[in-house]
Amino acid sequence: MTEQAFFILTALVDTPRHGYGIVGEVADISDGRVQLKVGTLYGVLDRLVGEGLVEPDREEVHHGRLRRYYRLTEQGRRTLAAEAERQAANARVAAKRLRAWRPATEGGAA
Amino acid sequence: MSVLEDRYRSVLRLLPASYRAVWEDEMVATFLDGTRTDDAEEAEYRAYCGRPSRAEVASVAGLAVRLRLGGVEAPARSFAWGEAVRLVALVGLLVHAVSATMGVLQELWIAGWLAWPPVPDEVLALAESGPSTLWDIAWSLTALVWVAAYLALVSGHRRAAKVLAGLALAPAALAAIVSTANLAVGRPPMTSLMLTMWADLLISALVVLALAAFHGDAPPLRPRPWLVAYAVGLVLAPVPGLVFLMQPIRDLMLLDWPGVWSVALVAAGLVHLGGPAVGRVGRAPGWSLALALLAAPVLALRIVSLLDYALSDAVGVYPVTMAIGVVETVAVIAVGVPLAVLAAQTVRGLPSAAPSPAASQTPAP
Repeated sequence: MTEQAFFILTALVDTPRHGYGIVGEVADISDGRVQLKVGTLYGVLDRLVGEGLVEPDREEVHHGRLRRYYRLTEQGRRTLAAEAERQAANARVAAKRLRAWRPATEGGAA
Repeated sequence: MSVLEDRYRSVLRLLPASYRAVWEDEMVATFLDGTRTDDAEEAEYRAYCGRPSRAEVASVAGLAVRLRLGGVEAPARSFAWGEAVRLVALVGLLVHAVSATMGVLQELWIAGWLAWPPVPDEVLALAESGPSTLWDIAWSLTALVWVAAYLALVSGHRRAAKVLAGLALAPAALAAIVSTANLAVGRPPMTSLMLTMWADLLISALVVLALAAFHGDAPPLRPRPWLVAYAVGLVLAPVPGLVFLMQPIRDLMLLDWPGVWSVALVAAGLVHLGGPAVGRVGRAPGWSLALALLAAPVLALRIVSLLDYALSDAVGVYPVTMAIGVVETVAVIAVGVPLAVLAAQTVRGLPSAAPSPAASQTPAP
């Protein structure tokens, strides 16, 4: 799963969002590191819809324009949970090794 | 509709029509949401003078490449186009890799650094400034970046391959610019075949652009056949030189560089067109399209080089060379036209873009 797909799924966990809402939420939860451009957002979104991880929720008119909201499907929630667990497990291994590591001059394991 | 919206919709025309039918209005709304501001004056300025940023345009262009030159899960037509452009890029890089390797070996050979085979006097006489100098060898070494790009691509390092291929273009671009500048100020250019040089550069640039088809969705390559192709290319590459050395009349070029391309394309085209007729192999749609796409630059290079020969009074302008070139031109057209017809029929028979799931699903109330 790409980092962009991971953050888009994460952005939809608490509530359905429209395209621009997803862009803003992804920027927030990634501390501004992931700034989705529109072409990138829809490139990932159409794939997530195709894979059944995300589905259209409702449509609203805002400033005279149609906004389509998307929500996470049950399969999307399970997939995200599995990916989050995988990343957390990776992070735990790395953190454990880093804690155990001491420079040779300090007398620890190198 | 504001000018900004109009401009953004123009950018979205890069995307296939079937995709736009589903996503365009939503993409426009999302884009315009991102440009909204509370400052009325600034909002009006953006609406009528604003342009989509380069990053926004690049994101749409990237999506267009992925959709039009599809990967494994794309509709069959988009996948066939993707495979064809990927094959064109691979073949283009393979040719550059082989000729770069041979170029270095040739310079070392003429410089006397290779013990065997001995350099014939005719070859030394043809070398414009005598045996190769260190500068000649160094210049030919820059072409080895093509080899690195090719090996990076076939071993799956796609990003590195794209960067290296872009870098590999630089020496040829520099040579073309310097030659043209020399010509403009009345100095002798590096070559008398200026049109061929620019055509070669343009085709190389298209090959580098074709690498964009190796995006994240593109299927992985099997390296072995392409490494074998590189080895076979190195074995076959000296053939034009051997033809030159073995021909009875010295002042004659039977097989020049565009001629090599023409012969290779005609041979590959005949095998592709005739293979299934003799019941040997089926045709992959990607190869039909790829060969048809390759026929265009080969034909262009052949015609442009003949024009160059006719315009210049350099060594090599002989009636027989020109006649052979004309025959090769006719042969490329004779094979290229049926290839193009076959490719068009093949593509038309494949299902095009499937409707997006977002369009087929009714939003929940």
